[in-house]
Amino acid sequence: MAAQALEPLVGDPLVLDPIMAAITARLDAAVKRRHGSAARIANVQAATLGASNRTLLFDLVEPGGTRPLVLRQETYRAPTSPFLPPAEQYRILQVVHRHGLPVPEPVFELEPADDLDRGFVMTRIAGETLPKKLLTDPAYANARARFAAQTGEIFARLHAIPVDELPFLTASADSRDQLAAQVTRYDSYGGGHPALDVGIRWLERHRPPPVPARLIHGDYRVGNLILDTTGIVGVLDWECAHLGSGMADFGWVCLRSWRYGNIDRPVGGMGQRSELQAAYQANGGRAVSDEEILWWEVFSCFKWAVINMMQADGHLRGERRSLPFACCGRNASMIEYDLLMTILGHYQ
Amino acid sequence: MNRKSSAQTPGSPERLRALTQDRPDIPEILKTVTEFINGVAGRSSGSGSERYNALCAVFLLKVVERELAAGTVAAQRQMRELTRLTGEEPSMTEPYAAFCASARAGKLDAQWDDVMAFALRQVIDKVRITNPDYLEPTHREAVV
Repeated sequence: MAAQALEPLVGDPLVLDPIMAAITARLDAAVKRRHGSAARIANVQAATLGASNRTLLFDLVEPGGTRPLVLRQETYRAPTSPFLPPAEQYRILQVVHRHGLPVPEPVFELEPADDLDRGFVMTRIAGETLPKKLLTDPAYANARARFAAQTGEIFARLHAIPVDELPFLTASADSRDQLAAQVTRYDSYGGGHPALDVGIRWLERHRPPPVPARLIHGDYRVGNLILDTTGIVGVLDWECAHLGSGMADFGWVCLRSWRYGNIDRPVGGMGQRSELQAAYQANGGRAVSDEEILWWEVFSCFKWAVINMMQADGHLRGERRSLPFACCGRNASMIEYDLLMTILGHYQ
Repeated sequence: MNRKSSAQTPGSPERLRALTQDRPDIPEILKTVTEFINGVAGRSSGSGSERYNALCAVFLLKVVERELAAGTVAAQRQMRELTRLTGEEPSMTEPYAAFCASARAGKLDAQWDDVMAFALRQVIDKVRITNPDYLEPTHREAVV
């Protein structure tokens, strides 16, 4: 239960309800507007209700053939939201797709005439996202064995993308100062967690030297990746992207929560840091010190605890009532434990 | 009916409160509701989100059960430690506020090991309620 309660960002299939029926009708009209009256949608399914997005799977059926697509709609908008608006996610997808990384191809953005709020449509990559299946099913043994090295290669290619192709990202609070951005959010959710203030102090005292800014995914982990039996075939969920040290992605993928119980396999519960670093450097990434990675792992614990506080805050304020978000409020304590234990040298 | 389920200290205010009400008492009510929700979670029919929400509900009820059983020993110990570390009585509305502000501002750097020890103990006290199995075995025992 703990792992599930820690994982509010991955939902379950939802029941078709009146909201879904309305969205389906409007999506059909949106598709006809762009692809002609012969086009229609079929096989609509709600995949997840995440922290910031609703994801619908559907087929675009045209006389010439059928194309599996995905609709992403924004569901959370607040002045303190840490998530990029859909228009910016769409532009990131365009750039990253053009650079040949394994991501869905952006197809079209929603417009006011669609009456579907803010979001976009992209291609659907076939594969599996469920952590439990990916970490235990024998069919994915080869994919697991490749995971850390493949992640190192993906990070190297991602971090090599010229950041001037995404000028709007320089304005985000996370791009200016990741730690300061998270501290501001922590305070906005009420603060008052001793471990987190001790963590902030440790992070301030141990900041690594400044490095050139790179494009950071910001939420790269099992659950936000599509794998098939050969390995990673899709990197999803770009709403946390920002500019900063590439090591931010290293720290996040090694978070204890994303090891799903396989504590001795830090990279996504599947591989070792040494494989990740070797592949990163073999593909043009820079050399990194253990101290720098440790800093980003501690920072990642802080960030993840603050995200859990955000979910609980949404529940407690009544804006987004949800049992999983209520659990997030109590689950923050486990991440605080990981933060202090990581500083003390555990989970390495 | 005998009263036997209470985990509280004999003569404590919590015990007295329980004795002034009829059974089922709070642990028994929690058990009853948990059994019902476990039934929902285990049903083969119903949607995935319904089962997931039921699991979350059981998780939260377990938190309530452990928090009630643990009583106030850890909270009282923490207040004594806070007074020692910060040199002042903690606020009864925001007991950690002074510690957090001082730690973040670097005013407690000279006693960093004690600050880390307090923060870790405070977190362990919370995780013992939230999900004790998450802790390293040496951290699972209660500290008076």
